[in-house]
Amino acid sequence: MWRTKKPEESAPSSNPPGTPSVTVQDLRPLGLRNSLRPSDSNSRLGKSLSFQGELKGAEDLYIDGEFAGTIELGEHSLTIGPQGRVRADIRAREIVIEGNVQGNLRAGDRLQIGKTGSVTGELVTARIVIEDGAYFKGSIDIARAEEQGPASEAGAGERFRVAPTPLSVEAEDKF
Amino acid sequence: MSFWRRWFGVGEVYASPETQLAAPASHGLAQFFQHLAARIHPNVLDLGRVWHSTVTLLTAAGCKVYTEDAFATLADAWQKQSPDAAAYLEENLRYAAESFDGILAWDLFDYLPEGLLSPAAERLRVLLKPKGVLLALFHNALPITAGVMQYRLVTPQSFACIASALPLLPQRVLHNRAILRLFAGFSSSHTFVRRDNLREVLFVK
Repeated sequence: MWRTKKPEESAPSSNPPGTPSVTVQDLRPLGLRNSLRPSDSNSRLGKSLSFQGELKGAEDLYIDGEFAGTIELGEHSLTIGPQGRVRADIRAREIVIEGNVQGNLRAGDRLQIGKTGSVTGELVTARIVIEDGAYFKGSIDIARAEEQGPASEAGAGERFRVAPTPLSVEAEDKF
Repeated sequence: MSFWRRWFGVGEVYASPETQLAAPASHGLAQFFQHLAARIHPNVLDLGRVWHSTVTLLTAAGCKVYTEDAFATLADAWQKQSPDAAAYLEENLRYAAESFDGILAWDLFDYLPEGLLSPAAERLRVLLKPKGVLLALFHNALPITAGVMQYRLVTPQSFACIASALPLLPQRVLHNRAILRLFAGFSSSHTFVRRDNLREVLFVK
């Protein structure tokens, strides 16, 4: 009947060598996902690598180097690490940015710009998270048809109810 | 300190950097949202720093949000030399005419050099669609500390002021008559006086 008190979960240990300096601990207070760290199962473009061209794939990708071109990952996620410098149009289910990105981004599910992230371009996503300190110049459009939940679910403490449609649909102007 | 307070007529000392001040009700912002509500999928340009809550609130209201931190670009321009109006507008605020239903200019005009005031006001007017709205803030007195206040939406009726270390100095206090002259191209304006030494002015194109 009474739950026995479980031992407190230990905090994640410090990053293993070779992983980005942004830690999971940094992100958790904001309720952000910890997909920032490359896992063994991810493909990875390391800091010293540079690639130019068209990249398509069906697995998660972590970029901490330079990339120019287009990236299409379908239902998978792309993480751009703190050292990543990307000039590309990107399509993925989830995009997490801690580095520098220029291009048009389309995330089917979710887009996150971390505190060290810098993004210039047009963003289309179902949900977005922007950490304090992030730089962004461009436009943000919420893809209503693909919306699956409240946009501020992982936000920095916001408590807004998200309306899926505009507050009013009466237009004054002709479009 | 008291000398500078008297000299500048300062009524309030701003918080230290990255300190967030309280978010009193903003009638100007409430009116801004009311205007947007009458439009379908309105385009809104925010000239301040990007904030999650601002983007969330605007997108929740059905807006497509454009962000261009004019304060940061202005600070960059100041660091090189006094910003030249033509050069500044050549590199910034470059959008097609009548692109936006609403523009959040915050207190940008308090920081613009004299030569950039009219060209910037005219550029924003051109960027607005007919009956589009521009929300601007004006300080009643010069702050005694350097640095810019940044503004983050908290609700559709309030915003928080956050002190930043951005190296910009307010250029002057714009009084009501000067403001109306500056934005003479707009069809109407509504002024809301706040308790925190700010005036909110909503201009309608």
